[in-house]
Parts: sequence; C-alpha cells; structure tokens
Amino acid sequence: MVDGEQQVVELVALVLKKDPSEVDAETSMQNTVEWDSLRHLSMILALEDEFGVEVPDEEVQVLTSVALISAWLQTYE
Amino acid sequence: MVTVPSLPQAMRESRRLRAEGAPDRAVSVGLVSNVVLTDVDTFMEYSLLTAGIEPYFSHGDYGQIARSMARIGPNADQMCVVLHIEAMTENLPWASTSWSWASVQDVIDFRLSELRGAIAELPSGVRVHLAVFGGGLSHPAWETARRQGFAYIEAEMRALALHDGRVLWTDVQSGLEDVGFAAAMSQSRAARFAAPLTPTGTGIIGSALAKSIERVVLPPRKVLVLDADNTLWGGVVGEDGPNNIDLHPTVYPGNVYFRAQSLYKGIKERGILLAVVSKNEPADLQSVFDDHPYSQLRQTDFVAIKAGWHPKVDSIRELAEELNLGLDSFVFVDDSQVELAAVREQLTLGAVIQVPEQAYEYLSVLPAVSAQFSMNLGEGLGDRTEKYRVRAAAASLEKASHSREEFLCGLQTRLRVAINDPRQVSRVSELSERTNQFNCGLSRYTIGDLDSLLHGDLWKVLTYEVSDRFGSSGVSAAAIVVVGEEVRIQDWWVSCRVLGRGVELAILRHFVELARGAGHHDVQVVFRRGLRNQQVEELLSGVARNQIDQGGERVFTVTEDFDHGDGKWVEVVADGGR
Repeated sequence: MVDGEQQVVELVALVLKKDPSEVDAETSMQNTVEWDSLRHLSMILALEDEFGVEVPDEEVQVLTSVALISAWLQTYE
Repeated sequence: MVTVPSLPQAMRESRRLRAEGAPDRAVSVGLVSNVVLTDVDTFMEYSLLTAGIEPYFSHGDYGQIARSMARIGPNADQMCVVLHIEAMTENLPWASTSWSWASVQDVIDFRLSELRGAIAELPSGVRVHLAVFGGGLSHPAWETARRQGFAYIEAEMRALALHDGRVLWTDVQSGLEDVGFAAAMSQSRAARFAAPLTPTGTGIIGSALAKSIERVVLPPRKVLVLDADNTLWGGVVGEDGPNNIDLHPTVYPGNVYFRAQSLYKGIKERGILLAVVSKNEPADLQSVFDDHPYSQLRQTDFVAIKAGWHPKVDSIRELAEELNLGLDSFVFVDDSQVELAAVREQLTLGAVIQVPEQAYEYLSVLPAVSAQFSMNLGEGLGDRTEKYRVRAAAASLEKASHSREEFLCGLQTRLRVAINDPRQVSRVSELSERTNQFNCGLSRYTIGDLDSLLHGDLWKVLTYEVSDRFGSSGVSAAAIVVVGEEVRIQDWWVSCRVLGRGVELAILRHFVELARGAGHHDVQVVFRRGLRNQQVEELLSGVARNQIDQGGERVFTVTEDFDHGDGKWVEVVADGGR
C-alpha cells in the first residue's frame, strides 16, 4: 500500500469512527454500513480539508471507496 | 475572531479525547435544521469533549423541523435548532431583484409559528438552542432583504427566549460574518448538497452551539487554583531560590511558564479568580511575585495565596468556604500526581488538570485550562478579585465576632438601589448568566433583552450595589420586576459573595416597599426550581404568606409584615436611577 493510500485509510477510518485496522483499500460505501450518504458528504468535506483539494461535482458520487479516492488523489496531484 | 480546527483535526481530537476516557457528564443533543448540516455535530463533539461533556446526537430529517423535533425531542436534553434564512423562503424567487422583505414576511411568520408550536410541544426539561444564519449566497439585492429578515427573526426569537426560560438564542451569525461569507459559505455546496456551509462555517456554528450547551450543562467556573512550583514556573523555589527558577520570555523552558502565566493573567482579566495553593514557605512565593523580573502575576492578582504545609485538600476547602463558592466552580492545576489524586479523591471540583512532566508538553495543556472558562462571558467582565477579597475579610470578621448580631452590626452592610440604570445592563445580564445558587426565576437575559425592558413601561430592572466596612462588592444583586395590577418579581439574583448576611432579606424588604409605593400590600415572587437554587425556595417558604403552583412556576406572596430577620441590619438607600 502506498503512503497516499494509507493516509486515505486513516481519514476514512476517522470519518467512519472505526479503527484504521478495520479499513483497507477495499472498504467502500457498498460494503460498509457506516458509510451512508451523510457520512459520504462528510468524507468529501474531510478529504478536501485534509488534502487541500476540491472535489468536482461529477466525482462526488464516484469516490465511494478507499481505492477510488486514492487513485483520484494521485490523478489530482 | 473565532478560530476553529480543520474538520479532520476536530475528528482526531475527539477520537483522542474519547480514548482518554469518558467525561463525567453526558448530554443527549438533538440537532434539527432546514438545511443539511454535515459535521456540525463533529465540531460540537470536539468542543463538548474538550469541556468534559460527552455528547450523544440524534439528527432530525433535513427540512422537517417540527416533525423532527417531535420525534427526537422526548430523548433529548438539549435541542439545537439551526435555521438557514434563505432556505426558509425556499421556492421563492430569492435570486430575483424585483421583490422585497415584505413579500416574504408571511412565509417567515408561518415558519416561525410552526417552530413556536414545535417548541411548545417539547417535554418541559428540554433546553432549546436557537440559531439563525444566512447571507453570502444570493443576489446582492437579496442581502438588504436578508438583513431585514434576520433582524426580524432575531427579535422574534429573542422575545420567545425572554418568555420561555427553556429557550436560548445562540448567536452564530456574527462568527460567520467575522470570517467573511467567502470563507464560511459555499454556493457550490449549497447547490450540490443543500449544505451551504464550508467546514469553517460548520465549525463556527458547531462551536457556538457547543458553548451554548456548556453554559447550560456546566456550572460556571469561577476560581482557578494553581500550584506554584512547576506550574507557575519551572523548578522548586524553596530549593533553587527565586532567582534560579525557570521563568523567562524567550529561553526554554522558562518561556513555557511565561506563556502559562500570560494565559492565567488573561483568564483573571475575564473575571475569574486566581488563587495559589502551594507547599512552600510564604516568603519564597512572595519574593517571586514581588521581585522576579519576568513574573507577570503579582500578589494582587490572587484572591488568596495559601502557602504552607497543610494538605492541599484542606486549603482548597478553606478557600471555598471563605469565598462562599461551590467546589464545582473550582479548577485545580498542579504537576504532582499525588496531590491531584488526593484532590480528585476527596473533593468534587469542576476540573482537575495535570501539568505534564516535560515543559514543552505543558503548552498543549493550556488550551484545555482555557476551555474550562469558555462558558464564562469573556472579555469586559472586569477583575473581581478585590470584591472577593472583601468577602474573605468579612468571613474573618464573622469568625472573630462573639455573636451573629455583633457580626452583622459590625459589618455595616449597605445596599444602594438603582432602577432602570442603563449602565448596569451588562452586569445584570452577567448575573442572570452566572448565578446558580440564589437564582429565583432561572431566566437568562442578554444585554439586548434588558435594553428592551428598560424602554418598557411595565418592567423595572433593579440593581443593588452592596458595600460594607471592608469595601464595595459592586452590583451584587438584581431583579426584574413587573409593576402593574400587582408587583411581580419575575427574576431575582443575588451573588453568592454577599449571601448569608441579611442582604437577600433586605432586598425583599425593598420589594415590599416598592409595592407599597405602587399601592399594594404584597409582592408576588416567581420561583422556578433548578438544580442548585433550593436556598431561594427555603427563604421564600420561610417568609411568604402563601404560595401557589402555576404551570412550572411557584408564586410566593410576601406581605409587608414579613419577618425581616438579618435584613434589619442592612441599610437600603436609593441611587439616582429613574
């Protein structure tokens, strides 16, 4: 796992109030009960705050897993 | 300007604070709004945990305010209602330049009426924190109308808060305007998610709501008790000597203690009492406070310096008795785990905070000390150290007197009464916010509330400046009185620093004289029972001719022939008020 992905894991764990050990690249809205639509919005805001990025409208509904967020962040940079 | 952490920082801090252990106090918080308030709860959680309160949140359905309040109200201690003014006029052409405030007033009135109804249906124990915000998102032409609308809603909500003691107006708008709408509001998020706030705006609202809850839940902190060695300076003054302690503006580790002293001095200037409880020779402490070139705290900054070799528990207890303040209004800061453990075990203080072993870690603890006093009204309260010194001198006289009569007669207590004095509104507001023990009606008044009362015909705001042979305690009591077909004492506060020497009975005598002047033979005193105001109920039960329950209030009737008791030793004189 690359450093960037580890940072995303930690952030996702923080937003979902889970231990980082319970989160990995596969963690997603589809397989995580706590990751509901409201938490997803919180996730996007925390992501923007933490990494100093702005998530475009069209990406908001796409960035629904740790792997997708990590990949998008690499593209953004 | 309000500063808030970033969203991830707030989340991390909350996780750390929860990992440290559950606070003693918990509150159930309901959060309802007409917009999506993502993460207001996150910032509230951070602020409340920092203040030692563990929150549990219930969320309303976005836009369904009345229904949500009915659903979550029965399980909430504190109900936060956050209204976005633009969203209140949803579906109206607010971006148009062609309409005015008057054209939407009916819609706003309807929404407010719904809100009043929903509040009325809440269980009686629920406190309601109302906040309204808006601006920055719409056509510039709307700004004028929005400001008019905001002023209208604020006036309506303040009036509601004035007449329903459960309701508190929480100002969030000034915080948003301070940072600027560009930083606080997001057109893009409003359009995408119906969530108009940026994380900064969210943090400002969350923090303001948390402070409002803290003021209700926590007893106000009034005294900061400090150890000396390794708390006010580095090292042990008795061993190192006053010239060799670590205390310096720039050189580590002395600069850490220099910053700590600056913070404590600032806390004192916000109206908090400072005291030192230290196992040291008094002369050693005196030499630091009098002569050390970098000590920012001098002897006169402290209401008491208890130096010696007694257990600190005894010294703190003695201090509480001298000041007539509850131990839960005390915060104690010390570096010794042994002393802290003894205090925790034997006293129930408001907070006990440890100074870390490493000086550089001390800096991270200072915000926690400051946060303990965050619910205090803040700047402008002035220094009350001297007033409490007067109290302590009177306590000494009482110990030396052979009888209560000798003590009260020798004290020469005097009340100077002013009626509707506009200079005292901030002090009356402060008394309404801070008084726990002798608080008759439990209502809180802002300066704006009191200003409006001063201009009414029926209401009188009475203030009482208390002095005795040792000096003045300042305006230490106040009352809100309605003079109409009857004389009704709607609210009445007496500072604990003047209680127990006949002042409260002398004020009651003054109420009766006021009634007599208006052609009545009695006064009605409204009492609402709270957690800590049973002494008011006991006093009124002892002197009232009768008492009746009216809704959640008890109304005592005190007639002109009541027993003045200790009040007969207190002289009451009129000031030049209207």
